[in-house]
Amino acid sequence: MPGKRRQVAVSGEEPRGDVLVEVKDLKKWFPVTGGVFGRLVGHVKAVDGVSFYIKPGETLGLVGESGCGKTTTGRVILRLLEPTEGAVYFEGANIFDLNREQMRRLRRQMQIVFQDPYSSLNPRMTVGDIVGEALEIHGVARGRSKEKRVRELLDVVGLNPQHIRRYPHEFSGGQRQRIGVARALALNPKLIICDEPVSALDVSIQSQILNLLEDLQAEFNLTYLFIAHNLSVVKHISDRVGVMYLGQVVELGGAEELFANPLHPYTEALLSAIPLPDPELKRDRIILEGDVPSPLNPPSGCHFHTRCRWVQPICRDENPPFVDVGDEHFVACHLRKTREKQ
Amino acid sequence: MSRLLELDKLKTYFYTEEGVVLAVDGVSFHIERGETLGVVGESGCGKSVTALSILRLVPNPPGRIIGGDILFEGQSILRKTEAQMRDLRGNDIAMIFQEPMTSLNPVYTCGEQIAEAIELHQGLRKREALEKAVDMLKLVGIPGPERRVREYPHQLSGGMRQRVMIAMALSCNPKLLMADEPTTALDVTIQAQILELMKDLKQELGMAIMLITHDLGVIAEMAKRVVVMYAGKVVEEADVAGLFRKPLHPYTEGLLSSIPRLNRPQGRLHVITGQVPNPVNLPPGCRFHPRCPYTEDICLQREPELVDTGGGRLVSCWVRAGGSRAEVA
Repeated sequence: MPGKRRQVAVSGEEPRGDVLVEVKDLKKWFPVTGGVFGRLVGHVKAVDGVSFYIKPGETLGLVGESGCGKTTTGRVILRLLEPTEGAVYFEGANIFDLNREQMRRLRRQMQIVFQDPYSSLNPRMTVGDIVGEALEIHGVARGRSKEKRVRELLDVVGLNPQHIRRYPHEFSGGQRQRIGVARALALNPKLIICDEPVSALDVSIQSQILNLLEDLQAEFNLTYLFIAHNLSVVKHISDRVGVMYLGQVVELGGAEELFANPLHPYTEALLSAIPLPDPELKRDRIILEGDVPSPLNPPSGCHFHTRCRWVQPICRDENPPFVDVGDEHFVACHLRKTREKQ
Repeated sequence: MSRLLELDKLKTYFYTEEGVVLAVDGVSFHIERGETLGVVGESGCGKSVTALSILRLVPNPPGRIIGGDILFEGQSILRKTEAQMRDLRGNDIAMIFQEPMTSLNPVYTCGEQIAEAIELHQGLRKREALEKAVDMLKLVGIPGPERRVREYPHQLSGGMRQRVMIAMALSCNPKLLMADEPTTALDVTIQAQILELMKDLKQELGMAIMLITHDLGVIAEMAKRVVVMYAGKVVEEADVAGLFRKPLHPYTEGLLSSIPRLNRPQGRLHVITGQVPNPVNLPPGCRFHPRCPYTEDICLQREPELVDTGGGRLVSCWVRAGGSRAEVA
């Protein structure tokens, strides 16, 4: 394995008991081939050593810019993609040890809501079929009882149950996203992965869906992994937030704490880059130079060192460990201690 | 001196099979020389069609400018010949589009695309125009401009492509730059770079900017004055500080309170109920009345006018623009 192995200080070898999901040193590398013979020329290190846990009933937000690996992380947790390395424990069991049948049964417990409410619903299926499909596949309900359950679900997400025979194109963007949420709820899952669920929606519709997700969480005791690039949205809905950069989580902490007291220079820059809807507020902005480096060939050592304004020689050589600095606030930065003293 | 741009009750309709879409329906506002005007609104409110109308680029059919006038430096754009328009586009008025991926031509190098406008409008030869293109790339902060000028759009990242778009738009020193969602497709750290670049270039070159966006954060940061659009109409116009401190129109108020804030504690998000109306079948009276918490009888019957409430603040609302109702009665 090239490069130094990243130290993980999240926990020991055993999975934690008090969490619903634990992700341990997860890696997902996509092979890149080139030439006439399709020779392997490298890997896109989409997820490159990610560790975190999600407690029952909480919302963990995952933010980062495009290409940082947040969506891939979500997909590997659902095992929609097979990992290159690492483990994901769901209620203590490593999901990568499960066989097909066991995995199929586990999928009832974990569902996903996709970003684009236009392309994630089959245009040839009625709402009833879309929401009810999982009920049938998992043998939970069919016929009359399926229809009854679908009507209930539509009502729960704020749609008119009488629209059960309509097709997706007859709904607006916000309503389609409600259909997506109803589909995810159908099997009474414990975990829902929300992958950019509001980014395709208008501002006035966004708040409707965010409130709906909060209400459903309270009602059904759901656990969310909320993946988004919009930090304001993530802060609003999350209990804890993880910040990803080039396939790694660089900082993770309680939402309030992380936004008030960012420790990683990338988090700091990201927060200061967001235009705030407050014209009278004056603040200093940290403008990051250049673009995010290619995940095909990420920088050595700390992946952020090429754009970091505090960079030291050690940052180029060693990948910083991801350490808990207290109160479940984790950060991966060599210079945290020295910067604290300043 | 006359105002740089003045829209007077502009109407751009689209004649579709489903019916007539009132995309822009009596929109009036103006832009002073060198100022940044923000135009905010959700998808379908008519903000992009307004910009396309100013350049007379509305696809016809199905679209047509059927009423009102657009004055650029005191002269009607609608009465110009097509040749005069070509002279104006890219020269006096330039535009940056939302998608830097699709608005550059993939089969020409960046340099050729920038040079094209320079050759056309400034009468430079190809070689001189390409040299100017290098200068423009340098101006917008692209490293290694001599090399980049020979590269194709696919060799550049999204942020770099948007810089090329800006370089192209600014190459002829326009008096007005229209930027339609210039940073929506970009990541936040890249967005910060582009916004900073636009601010610097405005200082340096002194052009006016019409910034079209749905992002209230970008508006707060960039604009001096703001026009809020809803369903083809201007519902409010104000200076940026006034708008954010005390929005007058219920739609603006709802919009501002429905966005999650980073810098202040917030409970449950406010929700504007319902949906943006179908543009073919708009509600009677005030177009916002089905979603408005303050609706009164008159709102259902008569469409409110955009009324000056003093201090450069205009609002189109029966409930909030108190004086106008007394006059009507």
